[in-house]
Amino acid sequence: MKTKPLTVANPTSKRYAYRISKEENRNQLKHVAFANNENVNDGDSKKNDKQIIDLPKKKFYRQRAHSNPFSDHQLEYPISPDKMDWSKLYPRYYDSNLKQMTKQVTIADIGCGFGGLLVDLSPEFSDDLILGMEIRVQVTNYVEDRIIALRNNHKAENKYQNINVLRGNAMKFLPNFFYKGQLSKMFFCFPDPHFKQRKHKARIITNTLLSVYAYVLREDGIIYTITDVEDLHQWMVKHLDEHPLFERLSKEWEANDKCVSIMRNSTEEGKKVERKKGTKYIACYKRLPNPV
Amino acid sequence: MGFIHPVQDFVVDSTNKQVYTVIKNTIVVYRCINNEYKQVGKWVDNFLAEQAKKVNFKNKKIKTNSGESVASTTSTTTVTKPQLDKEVPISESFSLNANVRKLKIFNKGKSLVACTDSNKGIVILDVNLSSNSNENCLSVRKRETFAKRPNAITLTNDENILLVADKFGDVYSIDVKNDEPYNEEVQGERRPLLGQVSMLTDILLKHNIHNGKDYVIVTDRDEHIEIVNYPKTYVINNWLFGHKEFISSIISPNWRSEWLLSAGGDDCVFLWNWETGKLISTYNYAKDIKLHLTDSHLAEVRFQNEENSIIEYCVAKLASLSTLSYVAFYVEATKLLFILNVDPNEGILSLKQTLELPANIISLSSDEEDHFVVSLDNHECGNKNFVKIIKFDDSIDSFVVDESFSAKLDNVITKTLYDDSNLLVDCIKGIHPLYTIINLKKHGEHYS
Repeated sequence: MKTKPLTVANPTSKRYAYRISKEENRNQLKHVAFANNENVNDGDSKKNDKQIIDLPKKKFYRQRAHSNPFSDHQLEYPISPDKMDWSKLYPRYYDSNLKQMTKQVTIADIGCGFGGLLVDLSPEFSDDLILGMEIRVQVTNYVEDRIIALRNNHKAENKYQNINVLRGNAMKFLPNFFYKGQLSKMFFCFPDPHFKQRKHKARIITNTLLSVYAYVLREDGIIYTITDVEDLHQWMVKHLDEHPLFERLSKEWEANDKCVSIMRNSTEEGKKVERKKGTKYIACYKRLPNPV
Repeated sequence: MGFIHPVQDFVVDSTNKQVYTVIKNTIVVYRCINNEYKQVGKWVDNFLAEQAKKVNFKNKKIKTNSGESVASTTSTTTVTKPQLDKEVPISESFSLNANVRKLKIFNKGKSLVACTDSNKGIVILDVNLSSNSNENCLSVRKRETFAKRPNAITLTNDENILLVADKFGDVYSIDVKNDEPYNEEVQGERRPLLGQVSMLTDILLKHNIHNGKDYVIVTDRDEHIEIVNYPKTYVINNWLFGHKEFISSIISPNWRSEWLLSAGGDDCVFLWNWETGKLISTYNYAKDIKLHLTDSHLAEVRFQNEENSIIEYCVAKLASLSTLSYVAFYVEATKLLFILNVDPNEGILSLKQTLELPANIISLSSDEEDHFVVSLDNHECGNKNFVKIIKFDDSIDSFVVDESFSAKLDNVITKTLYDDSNLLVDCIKGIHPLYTIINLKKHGEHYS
């Protein structure tokens, strides 16, 4: 079943009302820097007076867990990295005098889901801009609302300004967002396993897509993968091992890397696996230099 | 009474004085002998007929060009229907899409390669250039089958490797010299050289004369032009950004090998320096084409507005001449051939002229002697105007149709094919879909 646009959803449902109210909120606050001292919005909206924005509730953002990456979605993406307006996602990092960003995104969480990893990475990498990409509309809305609330509720400390989320198909349009070698870390946490043989091309790690990830990753940049599906883990390891531009990092390295421990513990999928006492399979790879 | 099906693809080998016409699943070769054209070869892709004969016909449908969604439908129907003794209407409906496409001459005219939709594959044919007039100059060297339909092909510069780009976004290589087709059961699943999660629409292999390296350039339905090292195809070199709609065709002229022209669903033809990644110039044809658009350009009902005013059109194909700095293109389902002058120093694109042909253009290419070559949807012309050659006339400084050539070809095509029931049609419905490129246009059909 496809999730329909809000306008055709049942207007009497609680979920509908919740989504509408959150959407208003989002439209108004999405691109706001939540500056501490200045007046955020000249409008007379009551929402600005409210000190605390409630964190969004997941139950109102339910959507089927899978999305076909091949189909012709209504997506917004820049025609090139030059045309990407990052100031709306990271208003705190926009220099309005120079009319340019003071930082570029360097960390990407592909298929970020409900955004747990973003939220935990934010304080650990306060000098980096971190972007989550998610193809499911409602899930993306949830993450946006979560970040709006977090930014608002922590505006005194100026926290969570370095994370945001985009609805997008990373498998198709990654090079529309990022320049060659722009990223230093890419996360693939609990990706859709696409169990069926004929759907394997829909998996997020394939030989051919790895070449695209290698393009947007700088030398020594790192791909992090984690999954609770052993088959998928072996598939990812096989393809990464085979790719000439990636080299696996050792278990010792994993043990000492803070991202690995964040990734292991912070995503909602990770927590679910923890509750069910499942196994988490991790593999991390370093981007090698291009051959001469 | 019927008429001969329009020529869907037309390629001229002027060096060897041979021309190749492609109609449905058939390639017919004509050779110019003593200033007259004679049929010297014919190859019919009988794959489907043979399949139909094999009793276990699977009643599965092939959709044309309707986007990536096909990917999910092709492998689903493995149910064998019980009522097989029904007459075989299947091969008929099936064959509507079973075209031979993208014919290419190589090996100095001694070989041909084409995509065969019947088996989602390619065919490599040998051409015997010194054959007698009563023997068939075409013979199959090999056929290859792929998991997904090949959409574009190109050869490496040494012509030893064929690169095949498929509708699922992958590029595979084939050893041309090896006569044995690839056997997945023995050699394992084919490994793509590179791939996108988008339908690939065209492919070129280019040599960078400045750094001595080779590159594969592929275009896709998602506006991308991707430049990848060859043979180390895992290293992506660059992307050329600027298109806002799908790309249908790219060419790179002989006379400036670092230049690349691209076009498709956008109102502009783009000229790039693919080595530096810079956009050099564009040419906007929107106002020139306006008067030539017809009801056939109205968007499909499901994408149409209430006023029924949405029109959709696209450039179907580009072609460049071998020495003169002109390029040509046409908009699908129109009669107008655009010829652009390309300033060989600055790269400025300007309109040289437009030529209105007697019927809609359905294929465009060029030969080694600076001719543009087109075939036409001549179903209303009464077995005339199958193909046209367009040459540059120095004395009037413009391009003209070589009518005597066209007449000769019309004659020989009519004479030789009129008794071929396979290539005759008795009503418009019998014509294979000729205008399918616009189907690449995206409409954002999926909301979630």
